[in-house]
Amino acid sequence: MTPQLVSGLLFLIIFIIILSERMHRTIIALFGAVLMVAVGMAMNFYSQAKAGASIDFNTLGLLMGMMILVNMLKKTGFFEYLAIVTAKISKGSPLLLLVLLGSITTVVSMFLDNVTTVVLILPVTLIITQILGFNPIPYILAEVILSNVGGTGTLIGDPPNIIIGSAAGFSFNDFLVHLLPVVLVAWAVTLALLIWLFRQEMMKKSHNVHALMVMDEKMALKDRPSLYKILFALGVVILLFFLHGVFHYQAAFVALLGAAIALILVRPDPEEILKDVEWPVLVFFGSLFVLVGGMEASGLLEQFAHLLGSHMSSNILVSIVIIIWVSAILSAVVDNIPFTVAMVPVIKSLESQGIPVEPLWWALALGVGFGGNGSPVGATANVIAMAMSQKTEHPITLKVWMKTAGIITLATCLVATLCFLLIYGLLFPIK
Amino acid sequence: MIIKEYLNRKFISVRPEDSLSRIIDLFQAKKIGILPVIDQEGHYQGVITPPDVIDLFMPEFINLVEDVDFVQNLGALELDRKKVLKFKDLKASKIMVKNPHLLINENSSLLGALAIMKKDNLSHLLVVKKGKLEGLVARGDLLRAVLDFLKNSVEEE
Repeated sequence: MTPQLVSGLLFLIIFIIILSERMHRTIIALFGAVLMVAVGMAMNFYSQAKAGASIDFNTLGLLMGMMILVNMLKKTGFFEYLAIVTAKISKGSPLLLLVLLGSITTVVSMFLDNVTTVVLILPVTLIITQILGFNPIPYILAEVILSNVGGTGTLIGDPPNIIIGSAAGFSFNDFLVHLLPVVLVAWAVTLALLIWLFRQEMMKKSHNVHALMVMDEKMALKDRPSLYKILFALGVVILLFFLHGVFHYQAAFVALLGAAIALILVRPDPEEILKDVEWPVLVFFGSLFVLVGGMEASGLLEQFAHLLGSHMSSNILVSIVIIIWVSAILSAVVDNIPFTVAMVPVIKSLESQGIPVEPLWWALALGVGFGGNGSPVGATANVIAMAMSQKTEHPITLKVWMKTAGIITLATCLVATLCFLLIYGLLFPIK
Repeated sequence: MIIKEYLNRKFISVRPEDSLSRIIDLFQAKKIGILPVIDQEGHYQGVITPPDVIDLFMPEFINLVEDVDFVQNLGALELDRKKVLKFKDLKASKIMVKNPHLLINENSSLLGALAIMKKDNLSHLLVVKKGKLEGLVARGDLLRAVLDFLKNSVEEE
């Protein structure tokens, strides 16, 4: 019973229980985290201090800051307004509705994290589709899948990118140059696949378009003055992210600064705002960091990295492809952030073995981002969508997920692979 | 002034197995605002009010958003005959609400009862003794009684 085996086994068991959904994932994750520390202390490979150090407060702070901003934004009704205006443009055509709602989700996801984007857009999408008499599921799936795809395109689009950016020293602009083009192609491919997968739904006609057209988006916008103030604060956040290379502010600082600016400009009841911060999510992530930290402290992850390194051929292209697919598969099964957290020391270890890692970071980002669509637990946005769908007449089942999002995950990973083979093989070869 | 004086001991009720059709008939024909559900042994089980019936047809999404002001027309979610027919045989036991706030002591004061009604947004309160429903008090009756008191107090000046 080596520490590596114990830590790996414990993580695996906790992970399987999370997947089985027998109990709330936060509860089991917290329990697992505490157990990992206890076992680690007993077997002398982990400690309370190390556990604390494993928690990436930068990520938690960023999430919290953005949750605050987004909660404030939510109260202004901005997203309902945006969704209604966009939906009206479709004039009730299922295809246009899917493309338009999906696309605004993609764009918003590039700036706000996927969880919050999805939390804001799904309810009004549910309302619009149900009023039109459509099955909401294709639209819900489209938005979740596209939020994961879009979020992969920028530094702030999803937390794994933030973690990678911070670990590898990449700026907001580095992401725009290296990842955004691939994401744009993946976006197009995803839309095409969604339309094809849901072609039956796309051919339907609504007899209730009038109900959509009489929706009053101005009534949805509850607080225009506050909206402007919050958008200003968001603008500061994005600007500071843009200038990350100049100021080197941590993402958490920027996000919390933005939240503080918004709060002081708007001055809402803090209890109302903070009440809606998703603490179970933050506790879940914190717990997973501790769990992963245990595996790292036991040396399991470094062993894994050495195993990986020794099997990696000297051909960087093969390594890139392996990282994309391994990251995608594991990311589908493990939630993105902890998986990325686990991979950071692995890639850093590969770097110390003399392997040129820059393309590997990008491969990791794409694999993790696109792979998040691979299962209902691959990303938090997925979990939210699944939960919300349970309240409808067509709840998303595992089978439905795999037949739609699963296929799209394969396609987008293929896009990433082909793009990178093109970029690093033909256009800008390494070494 | 206690509510015992305003207790309606005669009231219309339904059984747990009575259907939605019967409940709707009673609401419309007898113009009542509340239907207690009493079982065969005479025990109080719960109540049904017109809003409880209409809740059956409310879209679930009202729980998902803060505000539904922007929705003017529910489109495909509007009421239609098909939807109503689906529910016509639904039993009272499946519609009724068991709200502990509805129960009150018959020695409560008028203002005390009205405070409870205001706090919990109720139009009626029930006096239940040993599992049996003794009677109902209606908010309208209590309001009128208090207004009478106010009128008398002002006139005595």
